Amino acid sequence: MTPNNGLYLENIKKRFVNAKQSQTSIGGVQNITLSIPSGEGFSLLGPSGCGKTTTLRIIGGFDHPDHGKIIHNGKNITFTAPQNRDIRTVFQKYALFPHLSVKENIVFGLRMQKVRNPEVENRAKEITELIEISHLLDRGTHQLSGGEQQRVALARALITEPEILLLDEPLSALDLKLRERMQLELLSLRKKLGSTFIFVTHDQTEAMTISDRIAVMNRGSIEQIGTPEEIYHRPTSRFVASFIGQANFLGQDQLPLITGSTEQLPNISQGKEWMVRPEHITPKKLGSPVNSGFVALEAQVQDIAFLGADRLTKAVDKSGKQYLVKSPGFETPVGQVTEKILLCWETEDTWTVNTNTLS
Amino acid sequence: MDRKYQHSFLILPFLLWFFFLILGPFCLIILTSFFTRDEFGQVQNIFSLMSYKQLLDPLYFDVFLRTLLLAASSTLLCLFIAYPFAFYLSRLPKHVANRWIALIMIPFWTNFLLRILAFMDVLRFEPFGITLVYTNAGVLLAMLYNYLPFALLPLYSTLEKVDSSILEAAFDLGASKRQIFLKVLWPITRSGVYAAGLLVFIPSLGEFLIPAIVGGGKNFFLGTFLEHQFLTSHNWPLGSAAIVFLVLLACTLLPALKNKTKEALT
Repeated sequence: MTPNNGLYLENIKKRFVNAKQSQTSIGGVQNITLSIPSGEGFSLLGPSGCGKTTTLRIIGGFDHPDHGKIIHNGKNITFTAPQNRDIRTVFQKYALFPHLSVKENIVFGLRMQKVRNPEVENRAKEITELIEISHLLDRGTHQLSGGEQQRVALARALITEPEILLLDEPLSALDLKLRERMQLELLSLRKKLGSTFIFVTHDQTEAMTISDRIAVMNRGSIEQIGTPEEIYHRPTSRFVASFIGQANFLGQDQLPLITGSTEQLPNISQGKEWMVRPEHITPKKLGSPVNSGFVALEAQVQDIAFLGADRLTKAVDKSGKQYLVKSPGFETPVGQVTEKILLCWETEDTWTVNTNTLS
Repeated sequence: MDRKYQHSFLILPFLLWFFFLILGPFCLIILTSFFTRDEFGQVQNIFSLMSYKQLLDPLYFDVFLRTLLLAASSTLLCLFIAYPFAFYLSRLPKHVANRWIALIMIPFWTNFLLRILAFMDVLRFEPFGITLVYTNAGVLLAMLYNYLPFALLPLYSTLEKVDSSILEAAFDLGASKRQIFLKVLWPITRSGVYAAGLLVFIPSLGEFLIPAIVGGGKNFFLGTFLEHQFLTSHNWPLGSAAIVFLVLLACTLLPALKNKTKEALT
């Protein structure tokens, strides 16, 4: 089924020939199938070399797939030149033209389209007001801060009014404070314009903040596609669970160590394991009662770190397996280092994931 | 001592070299150019503008013109060949580009004279019944052969700094290949082209061996002319005046290009 609205990637394959490693070449992709409706904020998330940038470049038209096709609004654009797609790219390091002023950078696309001067002026005014860079127009690009460069790159791409904007690690060059602000700005900008934004990022918080849906990629394939909540609370594989936030994994081997309502734990077959998020585990004094619907496990505190809002506790069970526990920072720590405590969690919070990645 | 100057002594060897081996001799040349010579070729310490007047002679003017023409055409040809090649290299992975650069550099580890003599054999090859030995075209080819790396390496280092995404951004925004070159790549790399051009042009102006050997000394270029004045005609004042003229010429070119070059080298 190919939808007539939005972007559709069907079975995209791309291999890079690499003389040194003939087997799995870094950055290639296999069997990427994706459907992104118009107006969505979508993130390709994964570690470096997982193929997320390659996927973005294929959508942008800078790389062509060996296999598969790309459909945009019912039109096959697999081999269409980037400029003839209704898609613009904001490059990772912004790729501003160093010899042109901010203004000339922004109107470059319109100049190439031979748009008449009064209209160029109008649209430049409109976009620079929207992105709040009107005061920078006469500057050279080397006089801009990272955040300003980012805005100029955005304005340069958006002035051509693309339906889809591709952003390759848009915020990775900015410092934390600015990054958080820009995430929210990108979000409201997208809502205002109503266009599709597709992000590539390796930062899970960023992906969760700016997108409606996320595709988690690993070794050239998509592991899972879903809303941030689905991905976080219902990851399909160990890889997804550990890439999005922190997670504790328990297998059948841990079952003898667990007390409480163990019969309520979901069944795990071969190749599956339990996953519990650190914030779902409550540290308790040894000997505390375990309520019905809860399970508990005895462990020795190894390390406690106070992070402000949260307190992270590292503990080890009898088999030597390590657990991560996240409790509110305002609570007093339950046990000191080397002390034995009880790790409690609700059986409902135990999720089953695939041990191995799908690919 | 001011901390800013605590390493000043490190430039002492350079200063010695500069004053005694560059500036000093050059002052002597300037001085000589204002002297005259007797009929035995001895320089006489009599102030005169004779040599400069002689330089204006159409005979010598031709030498200058021919030299300028040769230097300009070899520079342009070098740039014309080197720029596309340097661009190609700059888009390759670094380790592959380095292999190409090694291939370009290795011939230059052999002796210059040897290389010229070997090149003569190439020019003697007569596939169409014409030989390029002892012709201006042959001289030009030999210049090209020798000076190409001087253009190639600075061009490569300029082009290598241009991130591919800048060109892709231009393409994405609707620029044709030609427009990408004219509106983006050329303006960004222009200063590097000037720098590369200077690195070929200035040594070309004074090139001596190539016109002497490949050209067979048939046509005087500045280099061969100088050799002739100093070693054959024993007219040191005239030779000195020609050198002063050459340096002045190079100096007039420099300020015009200085800013551009500075941009390119930083």
